[in-house]
Amino acid sequence: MPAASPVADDQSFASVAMPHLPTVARVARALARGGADADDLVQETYLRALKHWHTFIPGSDCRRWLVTICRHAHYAQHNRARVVTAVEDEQLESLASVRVHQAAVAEGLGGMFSTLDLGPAITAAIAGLDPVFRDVVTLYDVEGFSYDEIAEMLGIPLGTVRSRLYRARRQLQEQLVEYARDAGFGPRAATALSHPSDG
Amino acid sequence: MTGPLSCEDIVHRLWPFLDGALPESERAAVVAHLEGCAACRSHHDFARAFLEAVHQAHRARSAPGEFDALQARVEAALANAHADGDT
Repeated sequence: MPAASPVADDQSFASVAMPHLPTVARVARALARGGADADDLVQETYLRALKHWHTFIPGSDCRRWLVTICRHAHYAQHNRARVVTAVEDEQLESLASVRVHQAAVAEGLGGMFSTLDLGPAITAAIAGLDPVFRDVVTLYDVEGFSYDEIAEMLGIPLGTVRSRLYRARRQLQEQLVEYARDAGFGPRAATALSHPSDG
Repeated sequence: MTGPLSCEDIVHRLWPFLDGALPESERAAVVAHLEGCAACRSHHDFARAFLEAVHQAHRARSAPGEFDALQARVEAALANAHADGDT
């Protein structure tokens, strides 16, 4: 990030905030599930950011600040209930991911991520996640924010970030295995992986 | 230094290991286990390939100039807001 100007003016906004537009746009697309509202959300984010530019602390993380504004703008517009009814447990999710792998191996799909072009399927699967999981996986696995940064942006505990991330990944893996299976990849005759964690 | 880890320990640490979020002592113990356990190494390789596929999908859809039109639209909206005295 370029050095922030001590004066919060239009020039500093252009040089500090505008370079993060691609990140804001990708987050907006994820929030809007790739819909036409995404570009409106980016515009609304930047209008809010300019209006409140005087509150931005020069030298702090502008990308994070903008993504936070983007999320608030989205949920203010949609006012959707964001209730997670599933149990959020990191260890259960880790075990569940291993079981997805075992199922993939059993169907001859153990090497699917290395051998198949799953790009479009991955993009669609992320867009289809429940918002609370989609937000975390977009921020971490796509945009590269840290666990700590996401916890602060979303206002949730660090453990919840991890459990939601692991759950999102497990759900994505399940959907991608299903996609590969439905597309006819992989012989079903492969031997299932046997492992002490099976029990 | 963390002692030897079981396969169950590895399963629970796989994502933070791949995310680079484990303390160094635990990271070393995970590496040591993976070197000697083919089943856990297979889980690790599958998870790592999955994450690489997600990153690759992201890179593939980020074409140069992809956001030029959107940036022009946003800059026009900001100029209008400024002219209207909204900021």
